[in-house]
Amino acid sequence: METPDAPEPSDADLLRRHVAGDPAAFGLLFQRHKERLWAVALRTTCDREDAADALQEAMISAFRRAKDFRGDSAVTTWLHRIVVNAALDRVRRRPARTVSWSADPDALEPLLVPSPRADSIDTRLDVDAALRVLPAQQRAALVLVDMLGYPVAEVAAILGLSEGTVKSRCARGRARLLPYLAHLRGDSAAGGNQPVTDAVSPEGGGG
Amino acid sequence: MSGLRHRERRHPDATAIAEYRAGLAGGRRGRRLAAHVASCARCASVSDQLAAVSSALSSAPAPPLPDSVERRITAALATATAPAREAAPATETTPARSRHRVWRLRPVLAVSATAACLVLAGVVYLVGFTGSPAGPVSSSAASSSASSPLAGVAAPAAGSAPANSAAKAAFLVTASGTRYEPATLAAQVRAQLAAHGSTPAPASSRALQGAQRPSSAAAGAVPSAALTGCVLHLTKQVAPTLVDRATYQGQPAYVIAVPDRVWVVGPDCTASNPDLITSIGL
Repeated sequence: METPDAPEPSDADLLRRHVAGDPAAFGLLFQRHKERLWAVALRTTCDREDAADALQEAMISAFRRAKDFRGDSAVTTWLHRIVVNAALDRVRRRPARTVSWSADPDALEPLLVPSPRADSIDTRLDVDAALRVLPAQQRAALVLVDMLGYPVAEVAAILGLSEGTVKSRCARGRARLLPYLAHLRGDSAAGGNQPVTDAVSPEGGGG
Repeated sequence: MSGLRHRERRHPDATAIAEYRAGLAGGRRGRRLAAHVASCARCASVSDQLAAVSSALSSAPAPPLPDSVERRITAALATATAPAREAAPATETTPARSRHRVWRLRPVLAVSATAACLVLAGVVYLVGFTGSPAGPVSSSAASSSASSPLAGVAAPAAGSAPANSAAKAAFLVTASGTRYEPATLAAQVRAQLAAHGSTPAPASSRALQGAQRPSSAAAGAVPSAALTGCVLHLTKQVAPTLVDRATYQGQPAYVIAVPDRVWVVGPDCTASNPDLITSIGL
């Protein structure tokens, strides 16, 4: 991950080096952000293969369009935007699927890889399933704000929306998920990071 | 939106409370909502539950990027290097072979996507949702074309016969028995290309030196769907000049070449998991 001559190049440095012809620069950029970008793709598409396709498509696209990057947003914002768009595009192009049995049992396995904490598996499965009830646009906003914890302003930049629209989509998304995820309150409120009572005070609700 | 005219006994709906929590309810409406939520146990509970939804979302562990996906993207980026520099699509450098670009769809992915959909549908079912997002379960791999965003270009469903002609048109696999080594890889590939022409065309009947496979290897074998997907994924749908089943550093491997690049992949290479061992420019 580190190069001897420049210990910690910035994202913008890496992108510049890539445009200048450094064959390793873009790979470093991908390595640096791959997990978050994967999470965005996976949560937005709710489908592992679509997410893999979307992420690959997005990375190739970013790779080729790097010289068009104007620097008017952070490189990560730009990368996220490309990934979200590719993911939404996948969802849009996805025909109404009929479910069929696969001949390949190995294909099932990756989805069922257990996470380290047993109690978190239930949460994850619940969340995975619940997210699917949301319209994709709403889901994209909620994933970025609530799941990945990005500031509303940055999410607005990623999605090309006003902050008000982002907040509105998130609010509607949360309301819609309430019947599916409210039962997790007991577990998650204990370890959660959001004050449960803030709405009671009139000044609360920053958002 | 949620036309709110709440009086004492009229509760705002969850969306109104969520909007209020997000700071979207200003002025008089916001004050009313605040007062109501503060004094109404039921709505305070809804507000708590909305907080719990955010909390559940933020605490759900993110599944890590699977190694197979990472390898696949890294390989794709590696192959993207050359064309991007010249800003010329690969097809223009090999116009004669463009007619071979028949497979745009990676068959393994189509099947896996179906499987992923199935599992998620199962999860939804287990969790106990009332409205099932999944349609009726149909048998066999019927959806491999239906589920593909690119259905219509080609439908190389597992086990479907029509895929064969497409596979034949793409390339054949030789088994030269060459023991490829890192230091000599490029030279060995060039030697192979020189030995039997640049393209292992389907009609080629040229015998290969040192072939281990008695009959099929001499003319070249039709690749499996998985291998075809793997190869065309790596070459970006360009017909390869060489696909050689051999060994690399003593291990079974396929050596795949186009005019300016060579890939060495493991024997189980597929489009979704290229199992890339190495790749060099020619």
